[in-house]
Amino acid sequence: MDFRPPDMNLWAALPTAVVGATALVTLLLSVLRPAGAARRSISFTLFGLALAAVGCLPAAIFRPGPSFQGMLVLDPAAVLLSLLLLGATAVCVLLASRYLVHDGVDAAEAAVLLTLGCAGMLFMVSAGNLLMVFIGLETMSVALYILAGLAGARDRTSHEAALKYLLLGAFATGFLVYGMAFVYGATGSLDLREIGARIAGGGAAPGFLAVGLALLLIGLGFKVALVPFHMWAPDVYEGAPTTVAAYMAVGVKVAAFMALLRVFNVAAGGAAASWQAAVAWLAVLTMLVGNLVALAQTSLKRLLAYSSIAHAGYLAVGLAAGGAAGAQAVLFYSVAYGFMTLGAFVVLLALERADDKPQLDDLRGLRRRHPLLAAALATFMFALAGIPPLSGFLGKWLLISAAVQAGQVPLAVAAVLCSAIAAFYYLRIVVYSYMREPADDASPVTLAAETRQALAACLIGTLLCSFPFGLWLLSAAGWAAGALR
Amino acid sequence: MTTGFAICFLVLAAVALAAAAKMIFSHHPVHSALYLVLNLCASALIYVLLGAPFIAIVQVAVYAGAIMVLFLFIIMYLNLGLAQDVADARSRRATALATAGLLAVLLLAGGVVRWSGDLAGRPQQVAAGQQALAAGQAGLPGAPAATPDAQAALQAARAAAQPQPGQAVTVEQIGVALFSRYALPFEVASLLILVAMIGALVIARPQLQRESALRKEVSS
Amino acid sequence: MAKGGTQTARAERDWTLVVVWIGIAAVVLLVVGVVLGRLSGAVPHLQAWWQAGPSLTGLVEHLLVNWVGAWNWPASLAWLRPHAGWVAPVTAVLAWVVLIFLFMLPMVTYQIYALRKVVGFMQARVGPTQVGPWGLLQTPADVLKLLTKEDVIPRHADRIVFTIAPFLVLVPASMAYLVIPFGNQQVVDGKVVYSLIGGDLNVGLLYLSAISSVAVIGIIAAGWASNNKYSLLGGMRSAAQLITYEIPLTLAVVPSILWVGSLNLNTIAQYQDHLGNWLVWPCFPGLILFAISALSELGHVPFDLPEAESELVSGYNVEYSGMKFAMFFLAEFSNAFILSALGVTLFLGGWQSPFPESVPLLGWDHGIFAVGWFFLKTLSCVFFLFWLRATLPRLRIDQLMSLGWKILIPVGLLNVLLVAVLRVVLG
Repeated sequence: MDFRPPDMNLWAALPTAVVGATALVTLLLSVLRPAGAARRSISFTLFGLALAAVGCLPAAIFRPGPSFQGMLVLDPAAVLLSLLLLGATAVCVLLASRYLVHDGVDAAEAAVLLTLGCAGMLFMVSAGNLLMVFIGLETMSVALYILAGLAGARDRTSHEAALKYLLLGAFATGFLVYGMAFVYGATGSLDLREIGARIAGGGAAPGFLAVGLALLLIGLGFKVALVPFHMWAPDVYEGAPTTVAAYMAVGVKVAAFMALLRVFNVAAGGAAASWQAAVAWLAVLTMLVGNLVALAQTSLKRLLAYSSIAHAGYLAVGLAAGGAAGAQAVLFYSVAYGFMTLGAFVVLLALERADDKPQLDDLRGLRRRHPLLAAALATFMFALAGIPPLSGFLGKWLLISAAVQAGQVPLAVAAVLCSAIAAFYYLRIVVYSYMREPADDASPVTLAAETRQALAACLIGTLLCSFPFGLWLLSAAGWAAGALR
Repeated sequence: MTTGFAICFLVLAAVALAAAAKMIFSHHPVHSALYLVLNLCASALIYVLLGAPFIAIVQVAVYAGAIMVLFLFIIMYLNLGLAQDVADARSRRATALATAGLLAVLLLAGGVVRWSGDLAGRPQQVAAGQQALAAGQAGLPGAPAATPDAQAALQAARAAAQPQPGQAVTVEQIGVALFSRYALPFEVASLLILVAMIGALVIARPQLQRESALRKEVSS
Repeated sequence: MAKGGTQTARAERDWTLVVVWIGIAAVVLLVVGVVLGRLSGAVPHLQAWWQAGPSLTGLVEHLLVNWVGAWNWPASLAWLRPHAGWVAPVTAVLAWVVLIFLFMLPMVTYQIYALRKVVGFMQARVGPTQVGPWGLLQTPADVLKLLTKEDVIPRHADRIVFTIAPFLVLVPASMAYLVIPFGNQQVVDGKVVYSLIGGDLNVGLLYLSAISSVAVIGIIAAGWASNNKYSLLGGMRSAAQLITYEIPLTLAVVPSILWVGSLNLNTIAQYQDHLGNWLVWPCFPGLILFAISALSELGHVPFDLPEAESELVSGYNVEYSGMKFAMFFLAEFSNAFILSALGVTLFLGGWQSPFPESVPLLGWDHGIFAVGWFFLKTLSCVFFLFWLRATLPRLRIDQLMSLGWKILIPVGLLNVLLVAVLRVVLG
């Protein structure tokens, strides 16, 4: 039997390898030298994540093609989202070192799980094969199942959230794998480029392909919480520690949307007729339900959960629009969404007290209690609502114009209407923090150093995605979308 | 496909289906688990028929031999009785049935389309289909235009290219594939297993700490 | 029949159980043996045998001595000849099943006799002496007694699972004989003349590990279905122990596979064609590991915790009586034989003679001589097991677990690494 050694283009695997190695070394260090492990593992993890970000650069410069037999595609889009995910992970590690540790969680454990989850996400965004999508998704999900339950010692809802996430996640994975099997049956390959070639060459059994894509959409739809598959999201976000909820809202969504983009827009782009309408309907439904239910929320964490559901809907608009414009919109919006949502969660964390979850009323008079925090919150809310010139506006504009370009005017109209609904509850938060008097027993808010750093990172990120700096990101996203194949 | 193959397949498929149905409708979790074992073994034998003895044996060893043993272990350890919340289950039955029905329609639709496609495949189109397949494999943009005939022919060609029952995939072939074409997923899978292991320890650790504290107390 | 007691008694015809057991094993063996055999190239020699004439005497000849001459087909069976591709393996496996059952019962019976004699001798007793000369008929009498005893099912037991469980243990145990090479395969001009292996599977070793892992289900099912806390605990302990030691057992086997480059037990046995080639030399740590794990898999002393009399009365089979109890016993002793045979095949040269071919009589290892060497080695291993049984004390449950997980598994992994390096270095 002849054995051909695999094509190991290590440049393509560099970021993921560094992230994986960081996790392993952190784990070993914390076991071998338990004294002072908490601080050391946090700083070492941050260092490793930074190193991985640097490790993306050779890929951005040398542009390695599909590597490892087409398993790993570290193209510009993957680099862009990898950088975002590394940043988001770093912010979450920073937050975990303060808040999860406060919940009685071992800092090294949290850091290792977050890092391993990040490795899974990186594999997902640079997946060139459905197998890699699956393995990356599972690595990410398993890490998150555990992270969601980490606060169980203090808060029983954390266990409940973890269990719910695990059961529904496993269910969704079933759909995903079944879908992959059907796609394989239809095209005879799991390689995304090969699938694309078969579809373009008319070599795919249409019925099988449609069923496979539908199942894939359901499976990944669960992960990004598109509407009929979103039931778990509010409960899980609310029960999970807020740091982890932030990680889920940002990391999972970005990684899974990139996978959706690769599978649907790029590989199955030739069979758009079979999935475009379904995705468009899901997008409309998601935006409507997410925004309407968010209107009624008073718990800030649930509100952000529904807001992130609604944003999955916006991202799905870009997916349904298809083509390079749609891909560009999804890439840009992913980055913008990542920073603003993460920022909103950081503010939430800063407001959180040990005993209860922050409510809308807790925001009263935030301007007086901590002007800086109030300003940051307002920025994130304006960005989420899509007020010009902030990042959310640029993103929504891109998405809607992509939909119009693709001739999907009703979809664009729905997106605009839903953004208008959304503006109400985002602005209400700003109104509460600026125009309502603080309650008499309201305590002053103090920010820990880690929170300040995280907040600054998110704020800078959001501003960099906003006009006029955002135009660079916009053209970068356009370039990356053009290089997707 | 020989008659012997067809008979074996039909018998095994019937056993697998019956076991799966019994697994769902059994009231006792232990019975359900045992029916699942039967189902797994029957499908393993179907894999054998399809020329994948390695997968069959791994299925028995891993699913029936390891996972189901742990399932039974836990069910028996917790001494789960008959399903208590039958009334509760009844209210959810409609939802469950609707979901299952939808899934069934979805899957059957795919199967029917595929089957009717196969019927359309005629021998003289096989050559054209093979060309298309070769073009597809090479990933060339210049593949023939997608006409229904070409699709049908392609399916026929693919059917011819697939390993026939009776041609075993050897362990060597699987090993070589794992360490060349699938080297990266194979390695990343170890990362996945590592996450799961760390997770299991993290979840079990409070319990372990309590136990070791207890042990210290007893010994002192 | 204690009507008001905690148990109801139900007499069953025990012979039906035997028939059912043989039936199930036959069906499963048929599918596995025939299809896997077809796939892995066992068909030609089976076909040769079939086309020569399917008779049991012919099979025995074919199995035990060199094949002589062709057999004339009766006219009534001639129509089957074109279908030899399917009929031959089916009949061959059926014949193999019959042989296995003809072999298994007496073997286990006398294994128990030997155990009692050996342990008796070691403990300065005499063992059975009364029934038959030297007590030789004692164990057959015990078997007959078990077969004719009342079969009791406890009132609160789960009847179905309680009845199925012994089959779940015994059927895999008897299926294992399919791949054990009892002797050589004579090939002349590319045509197999006779073969002393039931199913020459390419995945033989994997097949064995899959089979043995299924038997665990039977044991916990038996423990649970009895609805008795002692049997439940015994079943749990058994399951935990079996799962734990299956891993080092598998790891102990890997070096031999690495060295030969095949999972086919017959190929592995053939490879060890002279003493220097025996796998015990490169894989010696594997043999030690294999012996320890096999002891534990069998639930033998010092690993006999599942039936620790002082703690658990007797383990998962407390509530069983009559033939069903005998079935567990049968499986246990049959497994002792199978694991010994596996150890012999993987490390000690299988059916090959340790002497060079040129030595008359002792150097021969073909046909009946191969079978002779195989049994000599295997029964020595079985004796070794008895010896340990009479010698060692019992481990505690936590010692057992930590030995398995913390010592044997890492050692097994290291051993695999070591042998792999050695294999590469030595070419």
